[in-house]
Amino acid sequence: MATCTCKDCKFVTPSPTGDPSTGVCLVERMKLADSQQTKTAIRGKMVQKSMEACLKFEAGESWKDIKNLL
Amino acid sequence: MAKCEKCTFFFPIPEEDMDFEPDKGDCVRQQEDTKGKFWLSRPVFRSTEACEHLSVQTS
Amino acid sequence: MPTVATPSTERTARLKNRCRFKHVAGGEYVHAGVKAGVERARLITESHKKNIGNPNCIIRARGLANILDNITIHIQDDELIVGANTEHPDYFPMYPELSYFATVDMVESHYCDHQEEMREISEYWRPYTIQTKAEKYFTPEELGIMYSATIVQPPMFVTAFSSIVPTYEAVLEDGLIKRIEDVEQKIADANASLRESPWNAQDKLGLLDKIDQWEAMVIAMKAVVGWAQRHARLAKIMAENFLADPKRKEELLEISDICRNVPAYPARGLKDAMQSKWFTYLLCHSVERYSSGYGQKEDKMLWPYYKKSVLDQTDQVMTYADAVELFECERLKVSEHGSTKGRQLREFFAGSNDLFILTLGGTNADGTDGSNECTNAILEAAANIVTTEPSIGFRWNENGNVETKKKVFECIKKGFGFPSIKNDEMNTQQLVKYFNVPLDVARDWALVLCMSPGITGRRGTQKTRSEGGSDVYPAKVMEIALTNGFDEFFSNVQLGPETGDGANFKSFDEVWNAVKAQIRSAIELSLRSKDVGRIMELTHLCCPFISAIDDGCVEKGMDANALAEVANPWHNIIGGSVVVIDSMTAIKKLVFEDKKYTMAELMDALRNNWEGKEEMRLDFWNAPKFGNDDPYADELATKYYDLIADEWKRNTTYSGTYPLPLAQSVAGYIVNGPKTAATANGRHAGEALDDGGSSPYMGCDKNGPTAVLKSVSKIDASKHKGVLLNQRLSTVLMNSDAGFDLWHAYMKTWHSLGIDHVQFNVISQEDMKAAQIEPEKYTDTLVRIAGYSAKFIDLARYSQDTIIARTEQDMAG
Repeated sequence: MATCTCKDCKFVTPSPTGDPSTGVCLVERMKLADSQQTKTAIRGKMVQKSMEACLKFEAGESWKDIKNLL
Repeated sequence: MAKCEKCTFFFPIPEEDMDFEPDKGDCVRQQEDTKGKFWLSRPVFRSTEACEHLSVQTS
Repeated sequence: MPTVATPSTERTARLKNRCRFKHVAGGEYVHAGVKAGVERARLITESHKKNIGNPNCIIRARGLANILDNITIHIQDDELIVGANTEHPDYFPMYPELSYFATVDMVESHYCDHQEEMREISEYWRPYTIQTKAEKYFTPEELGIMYSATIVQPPMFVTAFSSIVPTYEAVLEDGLIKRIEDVEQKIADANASLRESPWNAQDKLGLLDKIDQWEAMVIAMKAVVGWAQRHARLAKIMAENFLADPKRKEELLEISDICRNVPAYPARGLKDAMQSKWFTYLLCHSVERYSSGYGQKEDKMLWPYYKKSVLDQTDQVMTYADAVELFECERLKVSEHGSTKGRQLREFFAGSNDLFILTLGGTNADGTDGSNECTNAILEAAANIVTTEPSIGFRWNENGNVETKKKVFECIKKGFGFPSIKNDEMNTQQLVKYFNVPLDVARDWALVLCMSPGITGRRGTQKTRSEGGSDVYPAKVMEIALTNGFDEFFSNVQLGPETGDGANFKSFDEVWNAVKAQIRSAIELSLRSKDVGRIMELTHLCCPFISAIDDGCVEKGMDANALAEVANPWHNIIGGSVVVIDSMTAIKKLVFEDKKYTMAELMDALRNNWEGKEEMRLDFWNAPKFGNDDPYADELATKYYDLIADEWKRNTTYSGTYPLPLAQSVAGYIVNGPKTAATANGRHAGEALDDGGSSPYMGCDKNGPTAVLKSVSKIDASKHKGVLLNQRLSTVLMNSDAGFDLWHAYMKTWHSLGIDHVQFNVISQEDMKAAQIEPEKYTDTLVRIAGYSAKFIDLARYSQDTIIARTEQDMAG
């Protein structure tokens, strides 16, 4: 079975420039403390799309679920 | 093959217009989708091969 | 209760109901059916292949002509203003000549139905794009920094983002036929001059480039007249061949007559002026090249035509109600206009289509009140139709009439988030003082984009964003100032100079100086990329039509990208200024004054996102915060904004002067949150940043609206092109009988304190939470992000929560 890469992961959004080789991973979420006015923090990470996917990989395209990503 | 000049949607361009060329015309078609009706115009020539929307003039 | 639109006529109700909105969220178009049109790209490519080898201005003019002569045009049912930038009302155009990355991103997306053809087109253009042309002047490391979109916005040559204020007045007043004749005369004069005796190369050789530029202008203007005639023919053909309704037939014949007249000839009345303005808008912002904005002083520009049609009833006669309907039609036309921003900009304008912002109010050139009945009609249309676009900037002058200010209030009260309000006197004076603009010209300023004033009129307006625009991201800059310039959190890239590890800093001055060094480096890289981009624009991306309608370009035979007749350089500092201020304040107090923590402890906490250090985080969270009229925090804020201004002032840009900073955020405060590690103001990694340029951090303004104004007033706004302030006001108070009086008193305080800007959200916590649960009931609920408004339901949950999180101010408190 071929190795999954970040390119095929639904949590990886395209690079802000459109550079086809990079992306921004938005999978890491954190619930914020009660002192804060918002509820969620998102830990972004710039990735090379050719990188081997991490354990949180889910196949899909980020644009289909973008309203839940950012 | 049928040509655009035979089509009811072919309208010749008046000579005084900036984009006038002999035998050039506007192909005007009505379209409708869920948002409503709109009309499209694109340039064609009398000798252009007619498309699938060809509507032959009867008179 | 949700806001509901009340279109003034059945026509505008129908148009609103079927409007083909093109909003984006998270960088993606919200509505299914929005597609990338291919015809513009196809036609400019076809022309480029035929004309290669000619001077660039001629290549560009023929490219434009090929588009205008051949692109499929369309007219939709019920429209009174016609014309679009693509072959289908659901499409947006593509610009393969600009950025290779931006084109490929679009081509490989689900928006593109012609992928094979577009791949070929984008590869054809790759060596000719301004991206490729400009990249060679930067090292791979510099490109890596800029393209990571962490401390600076990626440069215009890769985002393809620009902005412009078209010289509409020249088109409306002269018409293009007269301008063609004038330019042809210049070509004839130049040719005669070249043949004068004796030959003098020094005097004459410069004419060669001018002749090319003028010839390009003629090609472009003739093509534009032809394109308008195509619309005239289509409207007539529809009336005579396709439609039975006599009223619509009559309308279409009138539209045909209008398109025969404008932009070829001067506008006769308001209908001509609106159509001519729309054609000019499309050409300057979308057909010749892409540029954001809707920069215009609309009430001033349209006033002569409004007066003729509505008041004097001498030409294209109409009533006030007819004018309101026409302005509603304009808003809907803008709402369905497909703009093609690169991905980073689409992410930065979450919930919107593009930064369409027009300007009203202020003064006339002679200093009298600039608001008139046309101003009121435009505001009334906005209040009726309820669309996010175009946003409105209102120039608040002490002498402005109260009737118009009440109309402004009505829009704000309904929760639109606009008009946003700029201090008229302060901004007029700044144009005079910093940019040497004559007072009468300065008085006609309009916002170029969200909140940056620039002149309007027949010449010297801003033509490209390499003049004013682009961003530095201060929160990230401060983060790397504490990590030796290296981004440990998001990109793993050395983003700035090695300024040391914050853990080793022994004084507050060391912190300050590290931040200063990083800001300096970011500013200089960003400005250099803009000016290199400017050279690429004037060398490879001439704009003959935009040049042809500027009196200065015509007079001098110059391309609009090259001529900086009125310098207007400015540069955004986007989202995070208050995070920096609050963080520095907390460090100063808790580390270097109270000595409760060491820098090593702080850096450890930040690197670990405060994990296991909640008590420490709360100490930093509860340290003095900007926005409470607290001298401790405000003093540092003043010092920070002065630093920003001084750092920009060290530089000289293409147009020969130094840029002014502009502190604001658009949705950058949302998008850049996930790229920014934990900060010393007690913010977690990935939490949103502050939502403006001087808006207190969410939940940190605890002392009421006047305290916010007093804190903000301590910033010397005269050194800045703008300093954005978001405020959220109570819906109950705004809708009470005393609503206007309370708000008016608040605005007078705002004005008397010499503050630059303010914009409002007026929506209750309950409505926003209800909209999250039942979005279908809140389709007309708008909110202000920062610099633009958006439909609340179009926003992602993360973004919605940042609006809910803003402190609701009680003006009566």
